Amino acid sequence: MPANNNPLKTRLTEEWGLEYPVVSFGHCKDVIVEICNAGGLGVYGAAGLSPDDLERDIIWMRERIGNKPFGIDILIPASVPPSGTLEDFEAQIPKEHWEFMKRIKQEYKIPDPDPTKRAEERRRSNPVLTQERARKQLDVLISTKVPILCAAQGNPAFIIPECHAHGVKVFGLIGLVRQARREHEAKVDYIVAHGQDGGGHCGPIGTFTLVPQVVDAVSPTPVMAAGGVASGRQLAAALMLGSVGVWTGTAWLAAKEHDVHPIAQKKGLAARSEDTVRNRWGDGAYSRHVRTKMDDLWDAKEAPPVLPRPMQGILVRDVMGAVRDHEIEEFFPASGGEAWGMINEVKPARQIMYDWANEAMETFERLGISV
Amino acid sequence: MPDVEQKYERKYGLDKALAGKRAECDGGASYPAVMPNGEMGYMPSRETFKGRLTGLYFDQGDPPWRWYELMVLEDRPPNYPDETVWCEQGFLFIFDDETGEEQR
Repeated sequence: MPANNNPLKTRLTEEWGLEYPVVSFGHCKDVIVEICNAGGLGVYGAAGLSPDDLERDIIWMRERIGNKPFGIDILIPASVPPSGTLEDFEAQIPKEHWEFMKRIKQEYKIPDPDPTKRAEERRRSNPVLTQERARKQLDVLISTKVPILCAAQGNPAFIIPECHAHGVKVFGLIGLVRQARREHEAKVDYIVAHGQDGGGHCGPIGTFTLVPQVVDAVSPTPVMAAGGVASGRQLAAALMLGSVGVWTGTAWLAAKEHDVHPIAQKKGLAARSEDTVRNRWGDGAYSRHVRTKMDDLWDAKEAPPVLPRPMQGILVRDVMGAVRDHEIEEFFPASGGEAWGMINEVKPARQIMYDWANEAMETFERLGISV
Repeated sequence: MPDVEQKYERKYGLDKALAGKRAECDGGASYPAVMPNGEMGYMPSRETFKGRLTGLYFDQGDPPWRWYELMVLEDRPPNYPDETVWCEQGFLFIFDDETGEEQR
């Protein structure tokens, strides 16, 4: 605990001038802005954006948060192809996989995508994840002097000296203790220990087990706890585990300002923790989300093996696009982790943040910890 | 994918000190790629492979990344179709043969 007797003041809050040791990750710019202006740290998930769109979004957010810190999260994809076009990768998808998706489309009467709908979303969404694109995104981050680069799905060792030379701090997301140790050796500035309860691309170990091991393994590098955190009690617990704050995502999908589709939000709010599932059919990498009919079909024994990135994302793109265009509820995807089981109402992002802070302080008081 | 492979040329090498070492790789889905012998092979990203390093490596991409060849002898994901796998350095963990402990 810090000497100032406020247990919510940690190295994270002190270094970045935050009110609360809470990082909010998400793909909605409005929520990121709200979090930054409410005393937290917003991290914008930008892996799917073109470098031009990324730069525009950075400018848009800066106009609304001023000099407050924020982060950009991209995938550091050593394990994706170096380069290539949509057509290159489509040609590599086996026939049996195309046939499988065609059968789903026919059996469940899923129409073709409607190009007149979601035009902007369609324009901005690009499933072709390559080393080449990630490199260009990194160049944008550095040239626009983004304060924090968050590196998911790979060791950012190669970019750390360049980032530090330009004043950019690097947060590394890991799922295993040995990955944390490797990133600590590479001198990342913060490690985000991402447990399997989390939504999106999470690791294989539970948060409560992972965090203390990582804290011990990488000290004095500060660690954030991620995965399943959606309350003030969990924030307090994460600090007690030795972390300097929490990295959160699912909770903000229930923020009033979020642009998540109403069907996805409704599904999340209705979901129990056990209604989420961690699998790979979405884009070839493990991620957690609310179970839909598509999960059942990919779990079935007649399903083909999931393809690697970026082919899997390209394979399911048209059908999932049609599901969104025509709002087919049975298949409609709802991202998020086990924390959905704790969330049952939509609130302003600021209110969520303040509720957590109050509950965390009450928890510390209940434990007799001076506040 | 010949155009793509040509654009990001690989530079191969041999690290004899690593040949025969036990190693694990936190990999993932594998993707088809051209191996040093010109045949198609597979790379991991987030699945776990265990085996022994051959010492062969290549550098590719920007920064570039270094990939080591692992002969998959002990553990591989279900349905993995090959006997070797390329592992990116950042996800590769090498073990001491005598103590069985991970080398730092």
